[in-house]
This record gives sequence, C-alpha cells and structure tokens, in this order.
Amino acid sequence: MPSTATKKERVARLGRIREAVFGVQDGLLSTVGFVAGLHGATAASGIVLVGGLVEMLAGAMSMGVGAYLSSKAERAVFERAIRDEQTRFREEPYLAHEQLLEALQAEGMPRERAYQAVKLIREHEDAFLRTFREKVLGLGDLDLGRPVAEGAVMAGSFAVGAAIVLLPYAFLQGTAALGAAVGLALLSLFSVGVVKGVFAGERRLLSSGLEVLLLASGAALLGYLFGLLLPRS
Amino acid sequence: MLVIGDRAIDFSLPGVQGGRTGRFALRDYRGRWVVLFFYPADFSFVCPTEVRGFQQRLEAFRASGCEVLGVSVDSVESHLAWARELGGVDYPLLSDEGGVVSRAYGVLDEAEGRARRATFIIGPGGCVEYCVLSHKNVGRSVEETLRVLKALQTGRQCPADWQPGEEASA
Repeated sequence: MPSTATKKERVARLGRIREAVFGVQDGLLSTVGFVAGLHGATAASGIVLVGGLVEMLAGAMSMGVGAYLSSKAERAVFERAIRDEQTRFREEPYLAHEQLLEALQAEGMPRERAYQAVKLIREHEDAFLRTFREKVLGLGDLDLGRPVAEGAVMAGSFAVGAAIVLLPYAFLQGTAALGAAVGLALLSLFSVGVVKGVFAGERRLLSSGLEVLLLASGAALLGYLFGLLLPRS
Repeated sequence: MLVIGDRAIDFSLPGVQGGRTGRFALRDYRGRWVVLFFYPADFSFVCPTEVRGFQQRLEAFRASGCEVLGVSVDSVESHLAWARELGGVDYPLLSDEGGVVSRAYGVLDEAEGRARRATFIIGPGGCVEYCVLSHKNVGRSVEETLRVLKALQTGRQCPADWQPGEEASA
C-alpha cells in the first residue's frame, strides 16, 4: 500500500489536470481562431506557421504567468487566513478547540465523540492546526496551490494545444492545411475529454469526450456567429 | 430575561448530582440562596472551566447557605458522562431538553437551541437578586458570583470591589 505522503503527492499531481485541460483547450481554440484569421489574410503556409508559432509562445507565456500569479495570489490569501487562525489558536486555544468541536458535530459526529476527538488531537499542535484548517476553514493541503507547477503545466499545455493546430502547416498548404488544423483541433478536444474521463475514473468516456468537444467548439462557433453580426467596414 | 426583583419561575427538571440521577425542583430550595447558572453545552472546551470552577468553590457557596444549580439543554445521559469526564460534580446539573426553562428565564438562544451563559442569584424569598449574561465565548468568574452572593447576604450597601470581611455601609 502506498504511503500517505505518496498518495497525497499523486492526488496533487492529478489535480494539475485543471491547468492541463484549460491550457490544451485554450491552446487549441485560440490557435485555430488565429490561423483561420491569418489564413483569410494570406494563404502562405509559411507565414501562418511563423505567426502561429509567435502566437503559441506569447499565449503560453501569458497563460503560464497568469496561472502562476493567480495561484500565488490565492495562496497568499489562504496563507493569511491560516496565519490568523494560528495566532488565534495560540492566544485563545479553548475557542479554537470549541470551533473544531462544533465543526465535527456539524458533520454528524455526536458531541461527546467530537469532544473526545478534539481532546486527543489538540495534544499535537501540528495535527490540530491541519485538522482545524480543513474542518473549520475548509482548506485542505491541495487548496494551497503550487504556483510554479501550475504556471508550468498551464504554459506547457497551451503550447501542446497550439502545436497540434500548427502541425499541418509544416506539411500542407492552403485550405488543406486549415482543414487539417480544424480537424486535428476537434479531434484533440474530444481526446482531452476522454483522457480527463480516464483520470477521473469515469465510465462513459464517449460522453466525457463529447462534453469537451461540444462545449469548446460551441463557444468558438458562438464567437464566430457574433462576429458575423458586427457591422462590416 | 428575568431581572432583579422578578419572581424566579419555578421548575422541576431531571438532573444528575454526584453521579446519581433525580428530579430537582426550584421550590425545594425555598428559604435558601440559589445560584442558578445556564450554560450552552456539555462536552465543551469553554464551559468546563465554569462547571469545574463551581465544583471547586462549592463548599464556599454551601458554607454561605447557597446551593448551586447548573442548567443546559443536554440530556441526563450527557450530563452523567460529562460529570464523569470532569471528575465528578456534586451539585445538580439539570437537563432542560427542549429549552422550556431556559426560554422561561429568557436565556434561550433560539437560533442555536441552547441556553446562553446566564447566571442568576435567587434569594431565600424566591426573587432574582442578581443576574448577568456573558458572551458565549467568555467564561464567567465563579469568584465574582461568590463575592456578589456574600455582598447580597450582608443586606447592606457594598461599594465597588467590596470583598467579604470588609465593612459594608448601613
């Protein structure tokens, strides 16, 4: 049986699927939009490829830094809440004990048992604070994001998504390249859903694939239709 | 909430004293002083300091002709286990399940369904002589309750921070 630390690490790694799905999906869609637009302006595959690579790099950096900064901001806010509670615990331990007791009781534990549980766990400050954090503040270890990992996964996933769309432009020309790019993007969106389903242990992988495919392409289609409504200059 | 001068409402509640269960009525203490204190819940990390505090000073209260009664909305079984957990409680812990008595005394927190942290000193005539309501997070001072009881028993005016043994004015 794997140790608790190994299990935690595994779940934390799997949790990065949020950035991976987000990054790949955005990389696919924004790059398809970009190359389709550029394709309208110039049919030269070389130009589309170079422009697409620039967009891929800029997008990956922007998404990666965005994920890093937002995760860091969230972590800072959560850490502040945890620090405040630690201070409170040291200044007024009885109140912290009482709050944990009430939280356990609210989860359905009989009061007497909850009292005994808190009495035991309070003898170990670190264990108490971690339990308090989870039960009273609702903050588990996984809620404290890992900004660097999240930023890196987001940037890498975006680049992978974008690269898939750009790949046909390295071998094909004109409409064939665009058609292949759109086809690959749709296939990849479906695959993202299926892979997500596998990791989440879902039985209906087809539904999982279709969900991502339809939502993502539906959003892109809506954007396109909205564009048609705009007045032309 | 009942205030000074109000007649203390009589009640009869099941409870636990010295590990034994029984029924306790306020009228049984007529002619004696009674400290009636309400507390939110058994098995709490704030309340035990009070329940224990009254236990530790019980002899002083009794020496002053006063009985102590603790009331919460917990069951008799809970009081039994709680008193055991605290190493024994020799004054009655009464079970006001449903909160009828707590409500009658105006100290029931309706949202939580528990009694507030209220203390009443009831005189031998059955009237409220002292009442105080504390925040749920702040334990009461047992010594202060004892000081006020002794001050009331002098029947005279006592200045701020009067202590037993000091002279009271006429």
